[in-house]
Amino acid sequence: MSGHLVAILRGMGAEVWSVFVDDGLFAGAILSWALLAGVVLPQCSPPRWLPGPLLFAGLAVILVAGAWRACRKRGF
Amino acid sequence: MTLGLLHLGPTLVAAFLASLVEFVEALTVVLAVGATRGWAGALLGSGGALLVLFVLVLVLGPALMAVPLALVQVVLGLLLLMMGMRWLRKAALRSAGVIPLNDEEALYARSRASLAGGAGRGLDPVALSTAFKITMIEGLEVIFIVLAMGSGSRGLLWPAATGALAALAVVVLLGAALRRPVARIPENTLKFVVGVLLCAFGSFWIGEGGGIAWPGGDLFLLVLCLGFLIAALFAVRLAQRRRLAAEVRA
Repeated sequence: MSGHLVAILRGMGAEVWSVFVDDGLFAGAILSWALLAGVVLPQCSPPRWLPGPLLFAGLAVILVAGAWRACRKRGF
Repeated sequence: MTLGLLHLGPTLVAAFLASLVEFVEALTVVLAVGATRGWAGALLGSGGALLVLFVLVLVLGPALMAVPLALVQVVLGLLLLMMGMRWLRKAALRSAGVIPLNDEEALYARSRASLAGGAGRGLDPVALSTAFKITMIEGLEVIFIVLAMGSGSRGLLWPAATGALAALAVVVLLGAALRRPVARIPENTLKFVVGVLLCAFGSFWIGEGGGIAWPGGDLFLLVLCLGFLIAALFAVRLAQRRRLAAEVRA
């Protein structure tokens, strides 16, 4: 019974993880860029207008590149 | 007032639509469990999971209030962004025909086939655990969305929770009325829209927590929504061209 429960909990953990990460490189790129442009850069006194648009621009590139990469992985 | 509405409206709508997608998935499996293994286990499993989720919200909600707002914004913003980008990329690939659309009817048939046989008299443990598991998984996603959408400002938790509860009510009513999968909901379009909102809110909260001075203040949320929409549509076009080019080559 406890083995069955552990299997259920492990399966649930894996499914919850997959809500955020289904492609390690894609998730890593998002995480790295968001932390760099959204948290680190604002502490380095850049021009006030710069970090916000830069954060968005990087994420947009990651999204398009991620779709491109997914196509290639599927043979398109 | 404008700033309040700018946050309240999208928060409520995003929480409602995202929760609707998750609850429809849970309903599909619970209906298959009920029809195949009996309704007692299906309803008890789902009810038990909803109770656990309710307790989680009661514990996590106040606990989040004790953490510094900037830290909550960055951490939940990151999770929201990762979830939103994943949804948006998948929705773009589905729109482009690179991966197949989600089919609730097929999921229902698969679930029924995997659960068929073995149901005895009394409470069926397989029905109970299957219904509990799917309701917990989809419900955890909903709770995360509600907490993340409501984390940007102390007053946003209620509109997010209201959106999720409204989605639950809609799905329960539909399930009771139909007793079959809700196949008519355009899930990919919903995921596309919600993905845009999650990405916009996620990056906005990260910036707020990280100390970014957004040009135009809260109004930049609208720019982010528009920007992510354009980027996703561009991704659809790009994926479509690659697929068509590959089909021509073949």
